[in-house]
Amino acid sequence: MTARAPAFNEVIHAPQRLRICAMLSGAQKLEFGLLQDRLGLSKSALSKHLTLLVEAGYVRHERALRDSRSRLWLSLTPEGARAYSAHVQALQQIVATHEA
Amino acid sequence: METQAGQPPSPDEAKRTLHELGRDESAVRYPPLPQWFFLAMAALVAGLALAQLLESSDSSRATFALAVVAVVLASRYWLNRDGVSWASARFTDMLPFVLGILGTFAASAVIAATTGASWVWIVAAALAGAFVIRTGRTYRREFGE
Repeated sequence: MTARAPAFNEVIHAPQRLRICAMLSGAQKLEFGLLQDRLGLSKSALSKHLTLLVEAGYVRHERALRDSRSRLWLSLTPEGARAYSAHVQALQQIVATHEA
Repeated sequence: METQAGQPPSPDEAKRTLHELGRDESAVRYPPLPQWFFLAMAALVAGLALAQLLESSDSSRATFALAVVAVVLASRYWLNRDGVSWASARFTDMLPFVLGILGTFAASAVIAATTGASWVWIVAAALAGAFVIRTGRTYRREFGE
């Protein structure tokens, strides 16, 4: 994850989208179903969040066959990884400023 | 996470959010792993040390075979499990483990080469195996099994 100055990002600021980015930052790719299970969202709700992230250029998706079923895999783009990192730094800054 | 879009969170909200993000990241990076996984890894690492006692060519073959089995196990049950492709462990989290194992092997190699005491590899096998089991216990306590 490339370092960037702390910055709030309106697209990923929403709690579920932030959690999606957190999970995607832990692997090269994650399957849609795993995100859905962990976040406890309906298919349509998760799709809506992902569409916003994809349109912002933060997430890319691809279909791949596994066990003869087509599955949707998602990953953070380099820009998405930078935006997430900057957002986390901004949160850390708020906590640090308060504790200082 | 109670933060609403458009307004920065309070320090308490930011702290809670960071905690939850950390848990979400860890759920992907560090899945629950069963005890047998660490026992198998301990046996493989101990085997790698004991393989150094073999004749040169046999040692290379055994080292390669054991390393391949270790990589396949780690890949199948950790890095590329169901729904996850190439989980990425943090370098800083792995550093103590890697340094412990590499340090044991490097020290044993130096001792064996300088003193001819090849039995040191038996000690290394016991130490490295115990280190993997201990790491596994800590891991399972933190991330589940």
